[in-house]
Amino acid sequence: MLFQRSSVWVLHALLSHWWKHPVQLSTLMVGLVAATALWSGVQALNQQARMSYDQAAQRFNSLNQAQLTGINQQPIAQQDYVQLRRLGWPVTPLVEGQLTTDLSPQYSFTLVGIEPMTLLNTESAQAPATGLPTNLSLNQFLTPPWEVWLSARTKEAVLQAFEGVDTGFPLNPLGERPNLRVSNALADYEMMTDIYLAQYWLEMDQQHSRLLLLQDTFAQPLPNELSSRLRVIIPQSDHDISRLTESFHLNLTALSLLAYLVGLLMVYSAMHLAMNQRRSLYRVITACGIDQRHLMACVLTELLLLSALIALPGLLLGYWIASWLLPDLSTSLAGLYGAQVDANLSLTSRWWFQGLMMAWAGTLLASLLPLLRLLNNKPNNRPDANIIHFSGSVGSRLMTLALISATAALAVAYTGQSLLSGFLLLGLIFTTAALLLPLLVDKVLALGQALFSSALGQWLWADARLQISHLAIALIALLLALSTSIGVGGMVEGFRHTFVGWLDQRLAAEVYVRADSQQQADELYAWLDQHEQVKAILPSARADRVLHQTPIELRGIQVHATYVDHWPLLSRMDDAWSQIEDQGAVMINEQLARQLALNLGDSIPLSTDTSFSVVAIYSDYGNPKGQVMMSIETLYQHWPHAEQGSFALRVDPDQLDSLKDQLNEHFSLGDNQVLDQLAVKDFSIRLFERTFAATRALNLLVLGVASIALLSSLLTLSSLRLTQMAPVWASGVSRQQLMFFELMRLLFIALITAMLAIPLGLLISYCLVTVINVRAFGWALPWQIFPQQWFNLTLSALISALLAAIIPLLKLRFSSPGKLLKGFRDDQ
Amino acid sequence: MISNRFIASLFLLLLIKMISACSQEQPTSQGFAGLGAEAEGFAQVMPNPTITYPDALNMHPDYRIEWWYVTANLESDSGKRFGVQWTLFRQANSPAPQREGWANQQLWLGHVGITHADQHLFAERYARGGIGQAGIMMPQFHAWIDDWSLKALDEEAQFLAVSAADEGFHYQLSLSKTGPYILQGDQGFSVKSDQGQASYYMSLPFLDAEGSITLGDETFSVTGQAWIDREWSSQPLAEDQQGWDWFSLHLDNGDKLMLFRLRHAHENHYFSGTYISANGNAYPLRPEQIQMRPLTEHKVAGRQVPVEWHLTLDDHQLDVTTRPLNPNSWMATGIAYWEGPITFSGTHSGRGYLEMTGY
Repeated sequence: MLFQRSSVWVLHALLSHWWKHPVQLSTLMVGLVAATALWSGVQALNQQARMSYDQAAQRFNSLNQAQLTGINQQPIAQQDYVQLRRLGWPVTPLVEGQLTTDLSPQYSFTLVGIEPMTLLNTESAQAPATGLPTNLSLNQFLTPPWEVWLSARTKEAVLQAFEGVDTGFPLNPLGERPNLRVSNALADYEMMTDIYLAQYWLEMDQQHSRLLLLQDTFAQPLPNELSSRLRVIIPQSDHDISRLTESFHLNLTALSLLAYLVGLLMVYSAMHLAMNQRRSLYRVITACGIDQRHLMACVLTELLLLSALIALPGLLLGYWIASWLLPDLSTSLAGLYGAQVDANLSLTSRWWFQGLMMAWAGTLLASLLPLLRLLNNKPNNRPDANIIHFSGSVGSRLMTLALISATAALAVAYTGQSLLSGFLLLGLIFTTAALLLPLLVDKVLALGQALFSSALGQWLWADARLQISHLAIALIALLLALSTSIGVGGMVEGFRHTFVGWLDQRLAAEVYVRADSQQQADELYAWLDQHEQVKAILPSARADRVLHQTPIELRGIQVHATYVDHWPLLSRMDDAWSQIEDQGAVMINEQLARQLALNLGDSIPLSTDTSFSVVAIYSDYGNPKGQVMMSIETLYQHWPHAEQGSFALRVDPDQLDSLKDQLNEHFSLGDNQVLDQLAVKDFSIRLFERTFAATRALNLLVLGVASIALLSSLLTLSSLRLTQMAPVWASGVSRQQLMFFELMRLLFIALITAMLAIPLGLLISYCLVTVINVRAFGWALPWQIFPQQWFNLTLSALISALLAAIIPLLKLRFSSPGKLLKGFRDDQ
Repeated sequence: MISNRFIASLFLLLLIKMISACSQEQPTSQGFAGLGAEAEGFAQVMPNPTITYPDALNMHPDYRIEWWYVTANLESDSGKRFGVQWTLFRQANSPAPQREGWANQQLWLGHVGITHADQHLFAERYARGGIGQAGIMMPQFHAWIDDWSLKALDEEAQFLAVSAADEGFHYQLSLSKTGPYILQGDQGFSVKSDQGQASYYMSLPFLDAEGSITLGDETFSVTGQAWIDREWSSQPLAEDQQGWDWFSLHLDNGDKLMLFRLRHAHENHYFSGTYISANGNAYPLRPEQIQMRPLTEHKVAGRQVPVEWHLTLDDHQLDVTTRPLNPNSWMATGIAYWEGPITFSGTHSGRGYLEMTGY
């Protein structure tokens, strides 16, 4: 039997080590808590987001759903639905819209009306789940007073809304209250009911919002009379929402994995030290008759127990981090991809379990080498036995590994195409850097050593070189954190510059006005035309197409200096604008160019009879869709039913407010019908900030963890250092001098690390903008460098080192001469 | 097809399955497919009705359920034999008055099947009344659900056309009425149990059929005989009736025979039928005149179903054994049942259709 009564005593003896070495215990705890918290926090975010995507897909909002929509977002007539069914089309209608209550507090609900007979009874595997319970009573769903399915919170809001309402929502057409049924599958303020009630409440009599195509292999063409009103959207898996957002989550996951590794480095250094210091304890235990296997089982049990206990606060912290980042994440996902993420975090038991598993896996991984050494039972009596001399065979072994890693990185850089290979490349670059770091620091210190001939100078540099073996892990953590900061910071900052500049170019007109109808558009035009302060009125129009089964947007603009001078083009033919104006040429956004591998001069077959020549490619950040721009005449010529878009107005900025007031007075336009440039920019920039808020926060956390790693290494080291410094002190160097040397040495090592982090960070940033971003988002960014950031980060590395050095220095400052003497004696 | 075809039940089943299956508090004892459920508020089936053709083809929305049922035994030019089924069920989920548009309480269910010796294909469609996706039009009869249709080609409905399509198959047949319509039971009042449950029931057993069947890429020209059943009721089954076995037979001598057995939970099954001579005279059969004995059972869809039968009518010197064209004629639809073409031999021979529910 492996586990015996004696095991309890062995465990007790093993665990007592940690109480005697609180610094090691705290290093272990901080490392493991940080690793677990950051990893599980990001996983919680990802899980929450995926759950929301699934819900959205269930609620038919997925871009992955085959469907029919009205041309120009017009509702679909009930007759057209019936006609399609009678032609054998497997479609089911949806009625969707927003409802608000008049009462205070005012609530806004998203209503989905379904037709359960056609939706729920399809044999097709494409049939979407509704989020309705399997025990739905169809009879009650379809019979007065009808049913409304909603979340518990929404139910409360609707119950309030019942008060004081005589007719209309939330009463049914008979003036009765419908039955409110609670389903957890529905998000707050989302309601699902029969199509009849939805049409009544949304005043969409005889109209449907869209038709879901329940079988996307259904390949019949639309009959002619319907094709002028409806269009079929067959999804392409490349463009489904989860794939788009997957890139985003992969970014976060990669960052959390980095944090996890930095945390594990700390766990490793604590374990390594603890295992070494406990060798005598192991000998005592084996001397008491506990065999090696038994001891190993006890050590493993100890590790699992300890890490499970530490993982719990780690998971709680992870939960907290996730709830803290979730609002930003949901805003940016909604803005970037139109994906809705529920802002209330709800976690599954699987998440807790996975967190615990990660903590265990991490602990075991970090303890693997120390454990193997324990198994080999190498004698290790000397206190400096674990000091590694990087100039020797260890150094050349590290160099070989670094060369292999660098070669692999080059191979991946040349052959990889996917996002995952992009991250693999980053991982290999990091590995190479981590392997090289101790060697490089050692070389720099050796150079320093060569410059000093005095005994004290020699000792200083040689001693610093010896410390590297103790600090290597913490320095690697610092290097990774610093270079990630430089890389990610550079990417975000570069993106911000590009984005703001792009917005300035793109939003060149001062005001954008959108008309509700053609009639209003005509009136607006006539009115604006008479106003002198309006220097130009630039109409636009839009239409939707499906090209290679991908939905794309066609935009028609009036070619004008506003666009010619400002529109942000990535590449163009010389006479691009005149070709667009006179020859029906088009320009396309970067996303579409990459998707369809189109270049200048290629043609794009937008309609069955005509191809359009591509004369320019423009950047279009934040748009997941492909877009084609052409002159408004070209658009109307080929798509006479194109929808009237907004007017861009060139106005003297001073007269902007008065023009807006007059417009509102004359046309009583809604808030979203008149947008000024500043408001749009402001919204876009806020969206941008939130997109990278999570990235930046994680980045800071990683840096924090690395600083703590440095601190704990120094604390561990300080007890060893005493014995090493005692002889120097005994030779007559004062404690103040020793403290100064200690501090300078550490700051110098931190500085070298920071200096090495800068080129590494630049390399990372280059990979992010030219490899990761292109593969994740579909657009490339110019690579920009920000020396100010480097300065800040170097400073923060030095401050981290300074803070980390304070406790050991104070320890030295207040060590009694007796203690130093004792250290000196022990060393003998 | 019948009557009792269980279709009705299907429908009900549908209801039960979809609607109530879900609400667990529903009573379980409602007979097959809920056809034994109470019918409060709906029109009741009474003796001595006046049923005429083609008016009987019209819908009867005041009754809770009804169905239009077509079966055909067909043969291609090359001698390949087929069975075809086309059914439309209507069920009201609440009694009159009729509500308009999407609020309409009529629910529609369509089933189609094509059977040959090696294959049995089927499909189903669901629709709501009130918007035109499914329904009945008169005076020139037209019944449809989605793109499946059964319609008269003239106002007297002497000629009809039936068609349906689904993934992998489609068919269209024209039907010519060559004999009179037949009122089942007592002038169309067809009793279904000793407790008095009944339906109105009319059949068109004399129909010549011709048309085409397409399976995958292959199209067959076919001819043969068809049978149409019209039945409506508000509570056609007794609560403890679990299912039925129903036959429609085209005898080679031109006579027709309809037989069914409603199975009670505890024996004492209820038997009924009509013997129809080739010249159109109908002879209702009393329960004691009918002997129906299941022979071989066949395992299909995990159930044991009696696919061969021994049928005896002493008063008509009829003693035959029936065999299925394809024993796997299982309609794995929302409400599942066995329905397929059969042949029979003995004192008489011929072809027909068999429907078995509640297995």
